[in-house]
Amino acid sequence: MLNRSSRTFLPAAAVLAVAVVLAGCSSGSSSSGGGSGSVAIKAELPPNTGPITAADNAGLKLLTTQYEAAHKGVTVTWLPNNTASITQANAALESQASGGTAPDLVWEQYGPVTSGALPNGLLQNIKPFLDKPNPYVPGNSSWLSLFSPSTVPYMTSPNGDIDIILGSNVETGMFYSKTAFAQAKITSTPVSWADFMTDLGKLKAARITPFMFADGGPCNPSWFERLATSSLLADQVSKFDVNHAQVTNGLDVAVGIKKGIISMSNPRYAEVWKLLGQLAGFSDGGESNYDACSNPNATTPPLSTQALLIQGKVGILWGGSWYIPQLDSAGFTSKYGVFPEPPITGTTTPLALGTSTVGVIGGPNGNGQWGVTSQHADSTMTTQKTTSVMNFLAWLFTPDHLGNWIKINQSGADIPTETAAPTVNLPGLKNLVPTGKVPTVIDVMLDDVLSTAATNSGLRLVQSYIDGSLSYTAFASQWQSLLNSSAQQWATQNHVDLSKY
Amino acid sequence: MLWQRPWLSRLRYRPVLGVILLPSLALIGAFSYYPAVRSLIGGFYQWNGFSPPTYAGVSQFTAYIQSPDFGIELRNIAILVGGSIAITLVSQFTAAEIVSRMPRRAGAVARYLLVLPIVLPPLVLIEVWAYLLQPSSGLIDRVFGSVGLPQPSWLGDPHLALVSILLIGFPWISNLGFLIFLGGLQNLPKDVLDAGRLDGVSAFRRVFAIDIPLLMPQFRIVVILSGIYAVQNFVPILLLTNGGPGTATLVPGLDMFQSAFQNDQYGYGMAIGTLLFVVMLAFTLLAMRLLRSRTT
Repeated sequence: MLNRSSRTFLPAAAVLAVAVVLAGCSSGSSSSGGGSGSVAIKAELPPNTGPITAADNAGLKLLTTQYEAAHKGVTVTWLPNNTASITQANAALESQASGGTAPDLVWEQYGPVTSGALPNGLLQNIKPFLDKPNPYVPGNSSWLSLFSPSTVPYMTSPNGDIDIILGSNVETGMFYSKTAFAQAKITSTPVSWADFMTDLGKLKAARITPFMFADGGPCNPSWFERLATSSLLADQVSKFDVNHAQVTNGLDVAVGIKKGIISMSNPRYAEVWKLLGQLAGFSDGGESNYDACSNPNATTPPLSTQALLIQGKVGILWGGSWYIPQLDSAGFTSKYGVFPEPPITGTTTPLALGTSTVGVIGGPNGNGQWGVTSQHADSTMTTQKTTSVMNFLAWLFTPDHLGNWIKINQSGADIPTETAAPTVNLPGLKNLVPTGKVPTVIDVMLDDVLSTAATNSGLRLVQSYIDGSLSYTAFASQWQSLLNSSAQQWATQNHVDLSKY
Repeated sequence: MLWQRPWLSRLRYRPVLGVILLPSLALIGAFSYYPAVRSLIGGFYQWNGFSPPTYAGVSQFTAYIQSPDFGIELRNIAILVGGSIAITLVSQFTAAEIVSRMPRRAGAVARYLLVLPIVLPPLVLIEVWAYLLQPSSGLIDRVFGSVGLPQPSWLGDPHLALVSILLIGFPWISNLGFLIFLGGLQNLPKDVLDAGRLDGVSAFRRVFAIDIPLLMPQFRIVVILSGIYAVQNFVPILLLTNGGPGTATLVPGLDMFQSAFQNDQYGYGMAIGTLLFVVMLAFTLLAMRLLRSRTT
């Protein structure tokens, strides 16, 4: 039997034990807002660039040090960002945000932000700040006016808010081995999709594996979808582009599906996937082992495709502007050439419109893409702190600053979005940059437009189609089911009545 | 008499000492039972991880069962579980039989050598196999190429990918199952072994007539552990194939992970997790019933 002291001790000990456990559980949620007059900003670094002390981030570090010196009481802590993809990054972000512990400045991409894939209310609308002049740029009428006109539509959400700021463009193109082209007696780069197919045939005839359509990640599949859909549906996009932005969003796509334009029964849309079948016919096997956006040092799949070009295992790769410094640093300088994705013309298909697709795939998805978190996602965020974060962003986005730190960060492969920012003219890069107006970019399934789940399911279908597990007919049937179900789910989740369209 | 028992033994019977367990119980409750119960409940709610959850009834369970991937995942996991159990039983039991019959010193050396790789972190093992299975430049393909054999894309060919996942860890000996079998073999009743020897039972026949029947409890635990591990351990698939190409290596565990942490369908992921729990429970009960000891 317990004595008196034990009876009083037991509940007290239990309470103490629970209190200790609870204290341990909550010890991670300390305040980071700083004391009176001080502001502590937590910001995410560009992905896979290491810590702020890494060489890639030297430009950002210098600007941050200068800013902190000029703004007593403001400290900026840069958090390393070791995520493989925006999907993974957003999963982590949403997890943090649900507990109110997201950083103040988060790395983002315009796709998930403007499509609604990222939950509403996680990021703040920063348009009121962008409508005012950038305080660090003398004589500007508004911060927005510093951006190239093509950039602003990418930043703008369907409701007119701007929840993301975009710092630089990346472009894509076809990288070819000069040796392979010489062996196949190809003397000039293709100027149409039909020429491209002919050259792939010549490479094959010369016993060179012509191409690698890397589908182990979303890059090559989503690029193809964007390229071919934007080209072949260019004269039908106005029927479903209800948002009138540069890039179609979830609403546009759902309307397009509902109207039967984005449908496998629409010959123009079906042609997109027939062309992919033709392209895949020239691809090396084992495509799911590779991703065009993988780090060249990746040791587990998806591996980088660059080694295949360097080792002479394929003739052509579909890559991005970041390939230029990476191939150069691998000692492949002057052994490769690059050309933009050629337009699909009437020689390839009578359904073609000949639309120039230069710049359609690339866009402001380079470095310097950030969103400012809401107080719901970040309990330390206040109106005053938002002002401080935006002031710091204004400093980073002063054109000189932007151009210089992006040059350091990506070795010149990214092109700043602000027109007055200094750029680096890497050999070959100029070819990939659009000179005229970019047509409306049609993203449908493979770029997180409707949902990440739809993108992942779509990628699996594309993989099965490419590796021959699915015939075109089976693919078309399953793709149509995915289109229908994804559009319906998108409409339900976003409380949109598609019958109105 | 009670007063004569040692001090520690007397303390053991004092309920007040249960207080010492409270922190551990609280931590286990907070970090093991609470998430498990939450995930059981979570299957009935739609939740994207950020917005408030909404009640969905059993719709997420039925959606998963009716999804086109369900049958594929079921087939893939059945192959992986069956394959894992088969190779575990054959390789680890065979190795244990051989080691248990080796001379004492040689047996001890063999035991250490075979057990040592257990300390290798699983991620390192996966990295090693990622290199071995790399298309054309991996060690296996290089060996194949050097002798004029075709160089398959082990992880990129839909017909080979699942088999390649099973290959990881070859020869599959360095595992807990080996130690369980070895411990069992070293503790077989000496009188039964002597009786077999007197009856002229050959070494080969002894395996089936004496060892396996007497080691049925060990077989049961190894089968259960291997089965559960095969269902739970989708990490090699996540890192090497991500369920592809297409759905060639897609399994319920990976689907659960991707639904919750990549697709923001936490409720759907938890529904898959709950179904997995039920299936693993049924598998465990079935294995315990089928593999119960036949000897007394």
